[in-house]
Amino acid sequence: MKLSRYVVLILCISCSFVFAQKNTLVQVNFKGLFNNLPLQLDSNYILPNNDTVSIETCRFYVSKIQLFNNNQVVFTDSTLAYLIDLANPTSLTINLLYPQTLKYNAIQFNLGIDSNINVSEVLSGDLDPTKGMYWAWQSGYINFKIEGKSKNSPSRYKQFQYHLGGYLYPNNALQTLRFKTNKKQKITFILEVDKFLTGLDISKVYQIMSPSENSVLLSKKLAQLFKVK
Amino acid sequence: MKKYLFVLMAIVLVFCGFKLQSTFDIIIPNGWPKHAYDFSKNQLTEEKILLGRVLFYDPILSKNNTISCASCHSQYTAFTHVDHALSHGIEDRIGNRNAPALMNLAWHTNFMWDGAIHHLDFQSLAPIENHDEMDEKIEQVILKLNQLPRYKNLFLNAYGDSLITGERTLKALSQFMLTLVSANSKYDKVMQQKDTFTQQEQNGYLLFKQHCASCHTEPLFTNLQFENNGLPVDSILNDWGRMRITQKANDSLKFKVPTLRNIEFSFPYMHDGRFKKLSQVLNHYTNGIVHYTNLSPTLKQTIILTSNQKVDITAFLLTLTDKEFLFNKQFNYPKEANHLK
Repeated sequence: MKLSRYVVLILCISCSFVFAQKNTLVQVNFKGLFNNLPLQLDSNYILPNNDTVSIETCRFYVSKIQLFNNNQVVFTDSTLAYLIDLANPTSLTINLLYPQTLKYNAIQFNLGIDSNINVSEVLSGDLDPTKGMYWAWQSGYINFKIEGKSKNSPSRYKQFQYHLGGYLYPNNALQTLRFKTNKKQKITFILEVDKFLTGLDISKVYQIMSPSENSVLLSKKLAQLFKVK
Repeated sequence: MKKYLFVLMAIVLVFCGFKLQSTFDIIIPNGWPKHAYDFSKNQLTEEKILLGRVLFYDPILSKNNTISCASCHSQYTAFTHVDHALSHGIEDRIGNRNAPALMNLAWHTNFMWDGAIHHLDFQSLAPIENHDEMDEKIEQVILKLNQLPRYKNLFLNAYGDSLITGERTLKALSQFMLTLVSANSKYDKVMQQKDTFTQQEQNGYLLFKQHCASCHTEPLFTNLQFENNGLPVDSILNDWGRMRITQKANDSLKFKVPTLRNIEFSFPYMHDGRFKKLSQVLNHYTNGIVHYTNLSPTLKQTIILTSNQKVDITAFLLTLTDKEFLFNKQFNYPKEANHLK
């Protein structure tokens, strides 16, 4: 009887400790831009090479969000991964709850899913394979998926499909991005989608659907196209 | 204080919820290596195994609701497809590889002939979404399951609520497949000194250990590795095996070493089902080897066997038949779930 009282007491103390710690919120937002304006899915755009393109799908994983202070990790978000889908407005905002007293001057995240998560058991939520971001024929998450139409594409229905991913050497496509920021309420990341397509020869490379050298190259290019606002 | 009481009650309820499930442990035969599957991430329960079994036998997993996992993985032929060299999908589509026998999967780390799948939980996705097999989307499977009260009940029993997700569906399928343990063949009984080999089987066993066991390693009868076993390339299929996954030249024509357990019933043999009889398989290893640069080292020296010795090896291989496995009622069509409509 006495023992159970202690158990209750310890539980109460630990609960109150959890509730007592004051947290504050920073909103992390993602936005797609095309020619400096908010990206409209399924709208036609003209690229500098006069190609007419439209974007049907743009979705990607953001994982392992960390806050840094003077190059030291001071906070690691506990959610394994977030699926950001430009077609789904609610997916574009991540609420990070961190201790109020914490100081930071940089934020880091993985663009994609790291090898640890890739080799683990099947997971739920945004990592559930029903989210359309998992390769069925060869195990592994798709880090970044962009699909649309291009006048220059030789494929049926003038499509292009870039499914970028791969977690094994030498085709490890994961990118780690770190940005300096001292914003406390809202951090906005923009992705310049037009710049991803500019310089790509869609008449030749219009389909990437497995871990490959091209998948890694385009993932590196993508990492350069995120900016913090 | 009320808040804490609520939390405590919630904790107690959660624990009770777990207790209502009947946990299940697979039998790990004596002397076997440690299994690779992490059961702590997917604790077996009878309810989840039953759900997985119902899914395994349900053609709802295919696009036009015509074929189930069991269509190509029939229990009586060690969960492979009798008389089918290549896998057989919806609308009579034919794939490019032989459906493998399913057993002792908890010990495997890679799946498929080329190891494309690295975890049992993700294995079911491949045949579900392959164009020449079930040609369905896992998202669509979940939508279909959600429309059936029968599955609402099965998920409720298995997971404590009727939420149907991809994760739960795939884990339940893993649960059923993990229970498919075959370890009661005559060979096993001889090893446990409950039975004895005939002279012929004993001769065959010694020859087997000399010529075959480096790849078909006891007790699983596979070393779980990928090997080039010197088969000529089929010029219609042009299947380069493991190389497609690793993109390494040294993996050209390497395929996963299959288990030999229940080999009596798992014909046709090889990754493309090219051999119908065990005698053809043995003749390949003595007379048919193509000497590729990455040929499995143990095949580099020619294997010489007399026809009598081949018969002896065959007699030994037949001792790997496990009738208790092939006719285990826990593995066949789940009639016990029929009342759930």
